[in-house]
Amino acid sequence: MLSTTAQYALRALLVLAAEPVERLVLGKDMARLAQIPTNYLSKIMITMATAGLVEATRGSNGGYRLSRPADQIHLIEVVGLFDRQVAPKSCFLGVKAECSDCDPCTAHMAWKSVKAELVHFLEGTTLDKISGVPFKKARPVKRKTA
Amino acid sequence: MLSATAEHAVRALIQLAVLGGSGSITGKQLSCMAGIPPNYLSKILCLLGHAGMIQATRGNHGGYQLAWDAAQIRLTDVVNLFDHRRWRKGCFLDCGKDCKDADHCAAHSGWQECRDVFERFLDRTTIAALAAPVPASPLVMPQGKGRRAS
Repeated sequence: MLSTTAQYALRALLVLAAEPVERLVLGKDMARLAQIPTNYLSKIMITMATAGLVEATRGSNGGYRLSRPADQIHLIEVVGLFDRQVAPKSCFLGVKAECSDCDPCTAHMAWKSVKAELVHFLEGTTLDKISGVPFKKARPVKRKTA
Repeated sequence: MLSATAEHAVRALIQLAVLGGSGSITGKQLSCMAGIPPNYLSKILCLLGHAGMIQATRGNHGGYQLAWDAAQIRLTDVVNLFDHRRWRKGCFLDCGKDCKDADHCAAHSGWQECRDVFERFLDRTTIAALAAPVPASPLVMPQGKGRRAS
């Protein structure tokens, strides 16, 4: 039901949520743990960094971490970035720029209640609530010492 | 929610349903009317044709038309055709876990409700319903101003 991209984004965030707040996780480790192709992940991470959900640090000690604690990140913030159908005035059929009760598409009235249920779940669920999804814990990255 | 491909397929089917039994429509026309890139559309139509939902006729007066009654094509049929991988696994995050009531992920119960509502919507919504014109808002007649039946 969620797009693959939204699922990947949530899985990537769950990897970060499983780590201590201050620890940076390398992209390649996230890709391995969340089982996401590395190039695909890097595009997703750019979108999430731009939206302020994660912080990216460059350099030899760089990596990604959550910009807020997991209990302050609602699923709607993540899914809304990638799945336009949860946006407030989105059209189910994609035939209108904005679909509303005043100017509906033919699916609008039936879709409205389905979308309300979905948005209610995504708004009411924070990342920490789904953190029980089984992912391996990231191993600390061994860095070469000079 | 639907994938872009399933959404395009639904839009193409709606256009064919609007056309009804009055003949067929070329891929080019359908592409313009449904707002789908022609190459993308031809792949979608090929799958819809294999599933038997539409009929393709070759030749000068050829084109596409619905093979099924639009009232018998449910959104579930289209989603099963294009988004079956997305629907096959019940898990919210598709994290490789076969989510069942007894052995489920942390998001399972909340997600299951959404999924049920969405599945009912797909089951109950037909292409015919989506092809019907949107009913105009009912006109509210001011009280006491209506004509009395004679």
